[in-house]
Amino acid sequence: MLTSIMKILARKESLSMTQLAHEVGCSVRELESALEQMEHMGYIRNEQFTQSCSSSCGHERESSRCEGCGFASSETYTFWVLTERGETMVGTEPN
Amino acid sequence: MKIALIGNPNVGKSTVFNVLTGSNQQVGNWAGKTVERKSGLIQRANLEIELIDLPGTYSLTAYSQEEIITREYILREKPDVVMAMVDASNIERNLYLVLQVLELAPRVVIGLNMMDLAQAAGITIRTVELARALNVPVVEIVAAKGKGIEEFLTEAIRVGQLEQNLSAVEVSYPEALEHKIQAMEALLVNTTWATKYPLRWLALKRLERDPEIGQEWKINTSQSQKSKNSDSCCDSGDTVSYELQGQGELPGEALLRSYEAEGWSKDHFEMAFADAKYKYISQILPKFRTHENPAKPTWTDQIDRWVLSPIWGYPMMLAVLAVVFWGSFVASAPIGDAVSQGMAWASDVVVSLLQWGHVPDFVQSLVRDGIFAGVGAVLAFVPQIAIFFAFFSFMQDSGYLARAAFLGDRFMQLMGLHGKSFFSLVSGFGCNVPGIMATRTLEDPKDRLITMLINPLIPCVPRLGVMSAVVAAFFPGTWGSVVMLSLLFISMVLVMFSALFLRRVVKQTERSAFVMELPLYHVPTLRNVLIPTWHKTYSFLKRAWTFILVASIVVWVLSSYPQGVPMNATWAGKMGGLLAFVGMPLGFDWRIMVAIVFGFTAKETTLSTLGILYGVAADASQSIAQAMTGAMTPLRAYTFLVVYMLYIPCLASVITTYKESGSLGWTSFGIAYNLILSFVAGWIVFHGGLALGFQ
Repeated sequence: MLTSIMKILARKESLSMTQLAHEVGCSVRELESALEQMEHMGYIRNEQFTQSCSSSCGHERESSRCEGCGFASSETYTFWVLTERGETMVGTEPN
Repeated sequence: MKIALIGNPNVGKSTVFNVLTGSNQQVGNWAGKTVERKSGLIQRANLEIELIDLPGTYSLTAYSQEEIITREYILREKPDVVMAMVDASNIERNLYLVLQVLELAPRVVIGLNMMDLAQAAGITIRTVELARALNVPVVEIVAAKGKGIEEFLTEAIRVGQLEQNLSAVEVSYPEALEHKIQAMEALLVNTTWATKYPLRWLALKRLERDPEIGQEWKINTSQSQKSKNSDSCCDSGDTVSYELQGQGELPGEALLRSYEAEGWSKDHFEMAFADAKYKYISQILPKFRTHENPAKPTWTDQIDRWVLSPIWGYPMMLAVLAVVFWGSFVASAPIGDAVSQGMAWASDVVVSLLQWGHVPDFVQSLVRDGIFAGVGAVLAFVPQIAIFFAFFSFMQDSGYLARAAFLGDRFMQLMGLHGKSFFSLVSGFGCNVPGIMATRTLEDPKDRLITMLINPLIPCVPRLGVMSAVVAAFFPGTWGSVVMLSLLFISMVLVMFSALFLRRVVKQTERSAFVMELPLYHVPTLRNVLIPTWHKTYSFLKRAWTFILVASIVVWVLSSYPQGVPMNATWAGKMGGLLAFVGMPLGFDWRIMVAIVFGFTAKETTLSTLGILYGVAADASQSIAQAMTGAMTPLRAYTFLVVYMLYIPCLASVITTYKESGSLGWTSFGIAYNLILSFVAGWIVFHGGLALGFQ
């Protein structure tokens, strides 16, 4: 399961959690558990993408709203990516 | 009797510990660590029990202090029994730790907590089957309500007093891996360590090159050497492994090197062992767990099947955008007209008051031809922008925006853009400044640079606002929506072209993929739509009254002096005349060129500048739309839109690019690239249109 996830991630194709769970053949819950474990082991990383503003832009953290130009979206994207260690590991297949 | 309490974080361990120990607790720190150590004494009949609450951990590798403490305690202190707490509502995650505990401890009792939560989630755990699957006792508890805790302890005491160890299950590994484990076991079996630690566990850890185990060997070797040097007669004790004395190498090192030659690094072993455990868990889960309709997809899954489909996803996204733009143009048209008329009326009233007060003519002109013409031109399109923001907030709150971004990434894969780059581009639709700053999340500096340079090709909200104002003037009704979509399409095509081009210039590394967590769909609340809409509209208005007001005054001065000359002979006219050679091939007159130049300071000022230069207020009955349509053809307007969408980003974006890239060269390259690209694209559109018979 973990190895399959690593191999799928190495395919350079972005997937949603549901799509990945379907491809691995497990539930989203099992997948979440596996991803958390792999993150703990240092092979993948959980990242959150939020709009970062400069200090002069006056980013207001409490409301997740950009005060500078006011047009920044508060949307946060969460995704999992391979770490360098993960990429190295998946890139070298044992004999 | 010594009992250890173990479990994942937040599994309810502390609740059980507190119930069992009451006030008989000792709290301190683990030796040399910053992790809290809690122990307590329990008296049951004639038995005194020391209960240790081990730190919450997800596994027993050596990645964190908590893991090392937990593992070391079980290995060194050898508790008589381990009480392993498991969250029934998230059992797959918890069983991973349990399987590792079973490799270390011979007597384990499982406390299945949060059964109530599991049941509420439609999960049924058959305790008897679970106990059979793992071959250890399992007790159901609801720690928060104090249920089953005493039974859990009673079972632990019973197991702790057994004369024989339990024969718990052993994870089976693939055959090739099993051979390697056995080979390592054979090398370790005669070491003194094998008498202290479970042999199989020791072999697994050696194959993983566990740093803590290696460190321990080295310390022991050093102690042994020191003991020999001092001619000590004393026994080196059980912590010294006799076979290491005089040797510098750990046992099994040669075997590990031979595996490495076959490509088996420590990471490969670690992953293979973890993988086998997860596989084992997924194999045994159906024996004891039933999930109510586990295979039935949620309605989010059902919608996503269409929305994220490589075939249907893109037409659906186009349809959504078409609805957004149609709604913005058609629904806002009457309100926009009313605001225009209101501004004209206000301008008349204010100017009449100024005339009544005998205020000098130049002040009257400034108010009418500068402030009202400039700021008023922008304000007339506030309803349109507000409705666009409302649609945007609706898409965001419903969960669709994340899907659109996800679809966009898959589209960009063709261009080799880094997965995360796309999210920076999505941010650019709001404002290019945070979009450029969002490239900080990209590790590769080349990825960052390419994304920074591409970002200004994405039309930000102020640009979309000006564009939609011009589109509404020249292409009313449904056509406006089609034109806006075509402009976005041009933007996307050029982003893709630029990505390909810049990959060659910057020599970008290979893209990487990601797994994205998508939010559940839900019906947006009015509050979640209206509040962001208000914030964004307010920001737009604030800029109109501050920045655009100043820009309007400057443009009025430039277009009014020297006095008594035609407008094309004013300072603004002369400035436009200097740029005429650039504008002519695109069909632009000097006023458009001046508006484009002023747009560099902030994109909205283009609209206010057009309002002043096209003399909106000179004929108060005329709106900016009427003034512009009288002076431009739809083809020229479309060419203007293409150039405006792509040309040099605003000053703030340029400064941000410079700050983020740290390179004046690349910043200049970005400016030059955008200018050339916009000119070429505009030229193709204009001359293509002429060739097709448009005027």
